[in-house]
Amino acid sequence: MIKAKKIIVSLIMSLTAILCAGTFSAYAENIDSPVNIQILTPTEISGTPILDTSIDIGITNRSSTEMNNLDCFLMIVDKGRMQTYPVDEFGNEAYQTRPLSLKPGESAVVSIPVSIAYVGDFRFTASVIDYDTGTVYSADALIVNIISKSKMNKPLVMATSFSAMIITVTAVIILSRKKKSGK
Amino acid sequence: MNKKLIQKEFMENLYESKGLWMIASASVILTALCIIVVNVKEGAVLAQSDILQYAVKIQLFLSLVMSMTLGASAFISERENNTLESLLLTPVPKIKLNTAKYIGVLIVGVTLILIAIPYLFAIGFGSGITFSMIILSCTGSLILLCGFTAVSILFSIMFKNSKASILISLLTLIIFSFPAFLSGILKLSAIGRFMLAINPMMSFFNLMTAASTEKLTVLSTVINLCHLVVFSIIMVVLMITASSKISLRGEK
Repeated sequence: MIKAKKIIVSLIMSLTAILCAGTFSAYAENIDSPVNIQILTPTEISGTPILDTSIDIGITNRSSTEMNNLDCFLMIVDKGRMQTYPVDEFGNEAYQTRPLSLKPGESAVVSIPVSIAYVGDFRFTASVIDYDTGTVYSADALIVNIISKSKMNKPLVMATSFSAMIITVTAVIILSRKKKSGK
Repeated sequence: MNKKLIQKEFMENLYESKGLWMIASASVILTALCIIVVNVKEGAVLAQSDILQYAVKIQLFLSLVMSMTLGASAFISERENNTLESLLLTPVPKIKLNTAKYIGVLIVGVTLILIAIPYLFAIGFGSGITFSMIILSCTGSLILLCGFTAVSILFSIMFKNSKASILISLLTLIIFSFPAFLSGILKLSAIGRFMLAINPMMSFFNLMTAASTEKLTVLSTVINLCHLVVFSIIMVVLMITASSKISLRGEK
Protein backbone atom coordinates (compact mmCIF):
# COMPACT_ATOMS: atom_id res chain seq x y z
CA MET A 1 0.00 0.00 0.00
CA ILE A 2 2.79 2.40 1.01
CA LYS A 3 4.76 1.38 -2.11
CA ALA A 4 1.77 2.17 -4.34
CA LYS A 5 1.38 5.59 -2.67
CA LYS A 6 5.09 6.29 -3.22
CA ILE A 7 4.79 5.38 -6.92
CA ILE A 8 1.75 7.64 -7.35
CA VAL A 9 3.43 10.56 -5.55
CA SER A 10 6.62 10.18 -7.56
CA LEU A 11 4.60 9.98 -10.79
CA ILE A 12 2.70 13.17 -9.91
CA MET A 13 5.94 14.93 -8.97
CA SER A 14 7.69 13.93 -12.18
CA LEU A 15 4.64 15.00 -14.24
CA THR A 16 4.64 18.36 -12.43
CA ALA A 17 8.37 18.74 -13.07
CA ILE A 18 7.92 18.03 -16.82
CA LEU A 19 5.04 20.53 -17.09
CA CYS A 20 6.98 23.21 -15.20
CA ALA A 21 10.06 22.63 -17.34
CA GLY A 22 7.95 23.12 -20.48
CA THR A 23 6.38 26.31 -19.14
CA PHE A 24 9.69 27.78 -17.97
CA SER A 25 11.42 26.97 -21.26
CA ALA A 26 8.56 28.61 -23.23
CA TYR A 27 8.72 31.63 -20.94
CA ALA A 28 12.49 31.73 -21.35
CA GLU A 29 12.12 31.62 -25.15
CA ASN A 30 9.66 34.52 -25.01
CA ILE A 31 11.93 36.51 -22.72
CA ASP A 32 14.99 35.84 -24.92
CA SER A 33 13.34 37.15 -28.07
CA PRO A 34 14.44 40.75 -28.73
CA VAL A 35 11.12 41.55 -30.40
CA ASN A 36 7.76 40.80 -28.91
CA ILE A 37 4.89 40.71 -31.38
CA GLN A 38 1.26 39.89 -30.69
CA ILE A 39 -2.11 40.45 -32.32
CA LEU A 40 -3.92 42.80 -29.93
CA THR A 41 -7.35 42.99 -31.52
CA PRO A 42 -9.43 41.17 -32.48
CA THR A 43 -8.78 38.04 -30.46
CA GLU A 44 -10.85 35.92 -32.83
CA ILE A 45 -12.76 36.53 -36.06
CA SER A 46 -15.88 34.69 -37.06
CA GLY A 47 -18.67 35.61 -39.41
CA THR A 48 -19.79 35.50 -42.99
CA PRO A 49 -18.24 37.02 -46.10
CA ILE A 50 -17.66 39.85 -46.91
CA LEU A 51 -16.16 40.67 -43.51
CA ASP A 52 -14.23 43.93 -43.17
CA THR A 53 -12.11 44.39 -40.07
CA SER A 54 -8.80 45.82 -38.96
CA ILE A 55 -6.08 43.78 -37.26
CA ASP A 56 -4.04 45.65 -34.63
CA ILE A 57 -0.58 44.24 -34.05
CA GLY A 58 1.55 45.27 -31.05
CA ILE A 59 5.33 45.18 -31.50
CA THR A 60 7.86 45.85 -28.72
CA ASN A 61 11.61 46.15 -28.97
CA ARG A 62 12.93 44.33 -25.90
CA SER A 63 16.58 44.52 -26.85
CA SER A 64 19.05 47.16 -25.72
CA THR A 65 19.76 48.32 -29.28
CA GLU A 66 17.74 50.43 -31.66
CA MET A 67 16.08 48.52 -34.53
CA ASN A 68 15.73 50.63 -37.67
CA ASN A 69 15.13 48.05 -40.30
CA LEU A 70 11.92 46.25 -39.33
CA ASP A 71 8.97 45.36 -41.52
CA CYS A 72 5.66 44.06 -40.27
CA PHE A 73 3.49 41.87 -42.48
CA LEU A 74 0.55 39.52 -42.48
CA MET A 75 0.35 35.90 -43.61
CA ILE A 76 -2.71 33.76 -44.16
CA VAL A 77 -2.98 30.00 -43.85
CA ASP A 78 -6.06 27.95 -44.69
CA LYS A 79 -6.28 25.04 -42.27
CA GLY A 80 -8.98 23.12 -44.13
CA ARG A 81 -7.49 23.38 -47.61
CA MET A 82 -3.86 23.13 -46.43
CA GLN A 83 -2.65 26.15 -48.38
CA THR A 84 -1.50 29.73 -47.97
CA TYR A 85 -3.17 32.67 -49.70
CA PRO A 86 -1.84 35.68 -51.57
CA VAL A 87 -2.61 38.38 -49.00
CA ASP A 88 -3.74 40.84 -51.69
CA GLU A 89 -6.90 38.73 -52.01
CA PHE A 90 -7.77 39.88 -48.50
CA GLY A 91 -8.07 43.60 -49.17
CA ASN A 92 -6.28 46.40 -50.95
CA GLU A 93 -4.01 47.27 -48.02
CA ALA A 94 -3.49 43.84 -46.46
CA TYR A 95 -0.53 42.78 -48.60
CA GLN A 96 1.64 45.83 -48.04
CA THR A 97 4.41 45.57 -45.46
CA ARG A 98 4.65 48.20 -42.72
CA PRO A 99 8.19 49.54 -42.12
CA LEU A 100 9.10 50.23 -38.49
CA SER A 101 11.95 51.52 -36.40
CA LEU A 102 11.93 50.97 -32.65
CA LYS A 103 14.17 52.35 -29.90
CA PRO A 104 15.08 50.05 -27.00
CA GLY A 105 11.94 49.33 -24.98
CA GLU A 106 9.73 51.20 -27.45
CA SER A 107 6.39 49.76 -28.60
CA ALA A 108 4.32 50.38 -31.70
CA VAL A 109 0.90 49.35 -32.91
CA VAL A 110 0.39 48.52 -36.58
CA SER A 111 -3.10 48.38 -37.98
CA ILE A 112 -3.79 46.28 -41.08
CA PRO A 113 -7.27 46.46 -42.61
CA VAL A 114 -8.50 43.19 -44.11
CA SER A 115 -11.51 42.27 -46.16
CA ILE A 116 -12.36 38.58 -45.99
CA ALA A 117 -14.32 37.37 -48.98
CA TYR A 118 -13.64 33.65 -48.69
CA VAL A 119 -15.24 30.93 -46.63
CA GLY A 120 -12.91 28.73 -44.55
CA ASP A 121 -10.97 28.06 -41.37
CA PHE A 122 -8.01 30.42 -41.58
CA ARG A 123 -5.11 31.38 -39.35
CA PHE A 124 -3.78 34.92 -39.69
CA THR A 125 -0.23 35.34 -38.50
CA ALA A 126 1.54 38.66 -38.04
CA SER A 127 5.31 38.73 -38.35
CA VAL A 128 8.14 41.20 -38.10
CA ILE A 129 11.30 40.76 -40.11
CA ASP A 130 14.53 42.39 -38.99
CA TYR A 131 16.44 42.97 -42.23
CA ASP A 132 19.71 43.57 -40.36
CA THR A 133 19.80 40.09 -38.84
CA GLY A 134 17.37 38.31 -41.14
CA THR A 135 15.36 37.10 -38.15
CA VAL A 136 11.59 36.78 -38.35
CA TYR A 137 9.45 37.11 -35.21
CA SER A 138 5.87 35.90 -35.36
CA ALA A 139 2.82 36.42 -33.20
CA ASP A 140 0.46 33.69 -32.09
CA ALA A 141 -2.03 32.95 -34.86
CA LEU A 142 -5.40 34.62 -34.95
CA ILE A 143 -8.24 32.16 -35.52
CA VAL A 144 -10.48 33.27 -38.39
CA ASN A 145 -13.52 31.19 -39.07
CA ILE A 146 -15.69 32.35 -41.93
CA ILE A 147 -18.79 30.34 -42.63
CA SER A 148 -20.80 30.37 -45.81
CA LYS A 149 -23.83 32.62 -46.03
CA SER A 150 -24.72 30.87 -49.25
CA LYS A 151 -28.40 30.41 -49.79
CA MET A 152 -27.73 28.55 -52.99
CA ASN A 153 -30.57 26.29 -53.87
CA LYS A 154 -28.62 23.19 -54.94
CA PRO A 155 -31.55 21.25 -56.48
CA LEU A 156 -32.54 24.38 -58.44
CA VAL A 157 -28.97 24.85 -59.72
CA MET A 158 -28.71 21.22 -60.81
CA ALA A 159 -32.17 21.14 -62.37
CA THR A 160 -31.66 24.43 -64.26
CA SER A 161 -28.18 23.59 -65.48
CA PHE A 162 -29.14 20.14 -66.77
CA SER A 163 -32.38 21.41 -68.36
CA ALA A 164 -30.60 24.32 -70.04
CA MET A 165 -27.85 22.02 -71.34
CA ILE A 166 -30.30 19.40 -72.63
CA ILE A 167 -32.46 22.05 -74.35
CA THR A 168 -29.44 23.75 -75.94
CA VAL A 169 -27.75 20.56 -77.14
CA THR A 170 -31.07 19.15 -78.46
CA ALA A 171 -31.77 22.42 -80.31
CA VAL A 172 -28.28 22.36 -81.80
CA ILE A 173 -28.65 18.74 -82.97
CA ILE A 174 -32.10 19.40 -84.48
CA LEU A 175 -30.90 22.55 -86.29
CA SER A 176 -27.81 20.77 -87.64
CA ARG A 177 -29.88 17.83 -88.92
CA LYS A 178 -32.43 20.17 -90.47
CA LYS A 179 -29.67 21.98 -92.27
CA LYS A 180 -28.13 18.71 -93.49
CA SER A 181 -31.47 17.32 -94.71
CA GLY A 182 -32.19 20.69 -96.37
CA LYS A 183 -28.98 20.36 -98.39
CA MET B 1 -28.88 47.94 -93.36
CA ASN B 2 -29.03 44.93 -95.63
CA LYS B 3 -31.02 42.36 -93.64
CA LYS B 4 -30.38 39.56 -96.15
CA LEU B 5 -26.65 40.09 -95.85
CA ILE B 6 -26.75 40.01 -92.05
CA GLN B 7 -28.89 36.87 -92.15
CA LYS B 8 -26.46 35.23 -94.56
CA GLU B 9 -23.51 36.09 -92.29
CA PHE B 10 -25.34 34.84 -89.19
CA MET B 11 -26.30 31.55 -90.84
CA GLU B 12 -22.75 31.12 -92.11
CA ASN B 13 -21.39 31.67 -88.59
CA LEU B 14 -23.87 29.18 -87.16
CA TYR B 15 -23.52 26.38 -89.67
CA GLU B 16 -20.26 26.78 -91.62
CA SER B 17 -18.10 28.09 -88.78
CA LYS B 18 -19.48 25.68 -86.17
CA GLY B 19 -21.17 28.47 -84.19
CA LEU B 20 -23.96 26.07 -83.20
CA TRP B 21 -21.48 23.68 -81.61
CA MET B 22 -19.80 26.57 -79.84
CA ILE B 23 -23.15 27.46 -78.27
CA ALA B 24 -23.66 23.83 -77.21
CA SER B 25 -20.15 23.65 -75.72
CA ALA B 26 -20.75 26.91 -73.79
CA SER B 27 -23.82 25.33 -72.26
CA VAL B 28 -21.86 22.19 -71.31
CA ILE B 29 -19.09 24.30 -69.70
CA LEU B 30 -21.60 26.27 -67.61
CA THR B 31 -23.29 23.02 -66.53
CA ALA B 32 -19.87 21.67 -65.50
CA LEU B 33 -19.36 24.77 -63.33
CA CYS B 34 -22.73 24.18 -61.65
CA ILE B 35 -21.87 20.53 -60.96
CA ILE B 36 -18.53 21.57 -59.44
CA VAL B 37 -19.98 24.24 -57.15
CA VAL B 38 -22.75 21.96 -55.95
CA ASN B 39 -20.99 18.61 -55.60
CA VAL B 40 -17.23 19.11 -55.30
CA LYS B 41 -16.05 20.00 -51.80
CA GLU B 42 -13.65 22.75 -52.93
CA GLY B 43 -16.34 24.44 -54.99
CA ALA B 44 -19.09 23.99 -52.43
CA VAL B 45 -17.26 26.07 -49.78
CA LEU B 46 -17.10 29.15 -52.01
CA ALA B 47 -19.38 32.05 -51.13
CA GLN B 48 -22.44 32.37 -53.36
CA SER B 49 -21.28 35.79 -54.60
CA ASP B 50 -17.90 34.30 -55.61
CA ILE B 51 -19.57 31.50 -57.55
CA LEU B 52 -21.76 34.07 -59.29
CA GLN B 53 -18.66 36.08 -60.21
CA TYR B 54 -16.97 32.99 -61.66
CA ALA B 55 -20.08 32.26 -63.72
CA VAL B 56 -20.13 35.86 -65.01
CA LYS B 57 -16.44 35.62 -65.98
CA ILE B 58 -17.08 32.34 -67.80
CA GLN B 59 -20.03 33.94 -69.59
CA LEU B 60 -17.84 36.86 -70.67
CA PHE B 61 -14.86 34.80 -71.81
CA LEU B 62 -16.91 32.22 -73.69
CA SER B 63 -18.78 34.89 -75.63
CA LEU B 64 -15.60 36.89 -76.31
CA VAL B 65 -13.43 33.94 -77.35
CA MET B 66 -16.08 32.47 -79.63
CA SER B 67 -17.06 35.78 -81.23
CA MET B 68 -13.45 36.77 -81.75
CA THR B 69 -12.68 33.43 -83.37
CA LEU B 70 -15.62 33.87 -85.74
CA GLY B 71 -14.83 37.55 -86.34
CA ALA B 72 -11.14 36.92 -87.02
CA SER B 73 -11.98 34.63 -89.93
CA ALA B 74 -14.86 36.72 -91.32
CA PHE B 75 -13.11 38.27 -94.33
CA ILE B 76 -10.17 35.87 -94.54
CA SER B 77 -12.41 32.83 -95.01
CA GLU B 78 -14.10 34.65 -97.92
CA ARG B 79 -10.68 35.39 -99.36
CA GLU B 80 -9.45 31.82 -98.83
CA ASN B 81 -12.61 30.37 -100.41
CA ASN B 82 -12.34 32.83 -103.32
CA THR B 83 -15.82 34.23 -102.60
CA LEU B 84 -14.69 37.72 -101.62
CA GLU B 85 -14.45 38.75 -105.27
CA SER B 86 -18.14 38.04 -105.92
CA LEU B 87 -19.04 39.88 -102.70
CA LEU B 88 -17.02 42.93 -103.72
CA LEU B 89 -18.57 42.90 -107.18
CA THR B 90 -22.07 43.35 -105.72
CA PRO B 91 -23.34 46.95 -105.45
CA VAL B 92 -23.14 46.67 -101.62
CA PRO B 93 -20.59 49.20 -100.30
CA LYS B 94 -17.59 47.86 -98.39
CA ILE B 95 -18.68 49.57 -95.20
CA LYS B 96 -22.09 47.83 -95.33
CA LEU B 97 -20.39 44.52 -96.01
CA ASN B 98 -18.16 45.08 -93.01
CA THR B 99 -21.06 46.07 -90.76
CA ALA B 100 -23.13 43.05 -91.87
CA LYS B 101 -20.29 40.70 -90.99
CA TYR B 102 -19.83 42.48 -87.66
CA ILE B 103 -23.52 42.19 -86.75
CA GLY B 104 -23.60 38.56 -87.89
CA VAL B 105 -20.82 37.72 -85.44
CA LEU B 106 -22.33 39.89 -82.70
CA ILE B 107 -25.62 37.95 -82.85
CA VAL B 108 -23.75 34.71 -82.09
CA GLY B 109 -22.00 36.42 -79.15
CA VAL B 110 -25.27 37.80 -77.83
CA THR B 111 -26.80 34.30 -78.07
CA LEU B 112 -23.94 33.01 -75.91
CA ILE B 113 -24.54 35.76 -73.35
CA LEU B 114 -28.27 34.96 -73.28
CA ILE B 115 -27.64 31.24 -72.81
CA ALA B 116 -25.77 31.97 -69.55
CA ILE B 117 -28.70 33.89 -67.98
CA PRO B 118 -30.61 30.82 -66.62
CA TYR B 119 -27.35 29.58 -65.04
CA LEU B 120 -26.66 32.96 -63.42
CA PHE B 121 -30.21 33.10 -62.15
CA ALA B 122 -30.05 29.60 -60.63
CA ILE B 123 -26.64 30.20 -58.98
CA GLY B 124 -27.57 33.59 -57.55
CA PHE B 125 -31.13 32.69 -56.53
CA GLY B 126 -31.78 33.89 -52.99
CA SER B 127 -28.60 35.96 -52.66
CA GLY B 128 -30.31 39.30 -53.21
CA ILE B 129 -27.78 40.39 -55.83
CA THR B 130 -28.93 38.17 -58.71
CA PHE B 131 -30.92 40.79 -60.59
CA SER B 132 -28.24 43.50 -60.45
CA MET B 133 -25.49 41.01 -61.33
CA ILE B 134 -27.40 39.67 -64.37
CA ILE B 135 -28.25 43.17 -65.64
CA LEU B 136 -24.71 44.46 -65.16
CA SER B 137 -22.96 41.36 -66.47
CA CYS B 138 -25.13 41.29 -69.60
CA THR B 139 -24.67 45.04 -70.21
CA GLY B 140 -20.92 44.93 -69.57
CA SER B 141 -20.42 41.74 -71.61
CA LEU B 142 -22.41 43.20 -74.50
CA ILE B 143 -20.34 46.41 -74.57
CA LEU B 144 -17.07 44.46 -74.37
CA LEU B 145 -18.35 42.07 -77.03
CA CYS B 146 -18.95 45.02 -79.38
CA GLY B 147 -15.38 46.25 -78.81
CA PHE B 148 -13.54 42.95 -79.04
CA THR B 149 -15.56 41.70 -82.03
CA ALA B 150 -14.64 44.93 -83.84
CA VAL B 151 -10.97 44.20 -83.04
CA SER B 152 -11.22 40.70 -84.51
CA ILE B 153 -12.98 41.95 -87.68
CA LEU B 154 -10.24 44.58 -87.99
CA PHE B 155 -7.60 41.84 -87.88
CA SER B 156 -9.50 39.78 -90.43
CA ILE B 157 -9.30 42.77 -92.81
CA MET B 158 -5.63 43.44 -92.09
CA PHE B 159 -4.24 39.89 -92.18
CA LYS B 160 -4.05 37.59 -95.18
CA ASN B 161 -4.07 34.34 -93.22
CA SER B 162 -6.89 33.07 -90.98
CA LYS B 163 -4.56 31.32 -88.50
CA ALA B 164 -2.56 34.52 -87.92
CA SER B 165 -5.72 36.59 -87.59
CA ILE B 166 -7.34 34.22 -85.04
CA LEU B 167 -4.10 33.94 -83.09
CA ILE B 168 -3.55 37.70 -82.93
CA SER B 169 -7.20 38.27 -81.95
CA LEU B 170 -6.99 35.80 -79.07
CA LEU B 171 -3.62 37.22 -78.01
CA THR B 172 -5.19 40.67 -77.90
CA LEU B 173 -7.89 39.32 -75.61
CA ILE B 174 -5.25 37.71 -73.35
CA ILE B 175 -3.19 40.94 -73.27
CA PHE B 176 -6.26 42.94 -72.27
CA SER B 177 -7.28 40.38 -69.63
CA PHE B 178 -3.80 39.94 -68.16
CA PRO B 179 -3.65 43.13 -66.03
CA ALA B 180 -6.97 42.21 -64.42
CA PHE B 181 -5.44 38.96 -63.13
CA LEU B 182 -2.21 40.63 -62.00
CA SER B 183 -3.87 43.57 -60.27
CA GLY B 184 -2.08 42.83 -56.97
CA ILE B 185 1.37 43.30 -58.54
CA LEU B 186 0.41 46.13 -60.88
CA LYS B 187 -1.10 48.18 -58.05
CA LEU B 188 2.41 48.61 -56.62
CA SER B 189 3.67 50.85 -59.44
CA ALA B 190 2.31 54.05 -60.96
CA ILE B 191 2.46 52.60 -64.49
CA GLY B 192 0.64 49.50 -63.27
CA ARG B 193 -2.08 51.59 -61.63
CA PHE B 194 -2.45 53.58 -64.87
CA MET B 195 -2.72 50.34 -66.87
CA LEU B 196 -5.40 49.08 -64.49
CA ALA B 197 -7.28 52.38 -64.69
CA ILE B 198 -7.53 52.29 -68.49
CA ASN B 199 -8.09 48.56 -68.87
CA PRO B 200 -11.68 47.79 -69.95
CA MET B 201 -11.57 44.25 -68.54
CA MET B 202 -10.53 45.62 -65.13
CA SER B 203 -13.47 48.05 -65.25
CA PHE B 204 -15.79 45.13 -65.91
CA PHE B 205 -14.30 43.11 -63.05
CA ASN B 206 -14.52 46.13 -60.72
CA LEU B 207 -18.17 46.47 -61.64
CA MET B 208 -18.83 42.81 -60.89
CA THR B 209 -16.91 42.90 -57.58
CA ALA B 210 -18.85 45.98 -56.47
CA ALA B 211 -22.15 44.33 -57.43
CA SER B 212 -21.32 41.07 -55.66
CA THR B 213 -20.19 42.82 -52.47
CA GLU B 214 -23.20 45.14 -52.50
CA LYS B 215 -20.90 48.20 -52.70
CA LEU B 216 -22.23 49.40 -56.03
CA THR B 217 -22.74 53.15 -56.36
CA VAL B 218 -24.27 55.07 -59.25
CA LEU B 219 -21.01 56.98 -59.80
CA SER B 220 -18.77 53.90 -59.88
CA THR B 221 -21.21 52.12 -62.21
CA VAL B 222 -21.31 55.07 -64.61
CA ILE B 223 -17.50 55.47 -64.56
CA ASN B 224 -16.84 51.78 -65.20
CA LEU B 225 -19.48 51.54 -67.91
CA CYS B 226 -18.05 54.69 -69.55
CA HIS B 227 -14.62 52.99 -69.74
CA LEU B 228 -16.20 50.05 -71.52
CA VAL B 229 -18.20 52.28 -73.89
CA VAL B 230 -15.19 54.44 -74.80
CA PHE B 231 -13.10 51.32 -75.55
CA SER B 232 -15.85 49.83 -77.71
CA ILE B 233 -16.48 53.08 -79.61
CA ILE B 234 -12.75 53.41 -80.42
CA MET B 235 -12.59 49.82 -81.68
CA VAL B 236 -15.77 50.12 -83.78
CA VAL B 237 -14.52 53.38 -85.33
CA LEU B 238 -11.20 51.68 -86.17
CA MET B 239 -13.05 48.77 -87.72
CA ILE B 240 -15.27 51.05 -89.83
CA THR B 241 -12.25 53.07 -90.93
CA ALA B 242 -10.56 49.87 -92.04
CA SER B 243 -13.51 49.02 -94.34
CA SER B 244 -11.77 50.70 -97.25
CA LYS B 245 -8.86 48.28 -96.86
CA ILE B 246 -10.99 45.25 -97.72
CA SER B 247 -9.28 43.91 -100.82
CA LEU B 248 -8.59 40.78 -102.78
CA ARG B 249 -5.28 38.93 -102.66
CA GLY B 250 -2.62 41.01 -104.39
CA GLU B 251 -4.96 43.94 -104.92
CA LYS B 252 -3.41 47.29 -104.09
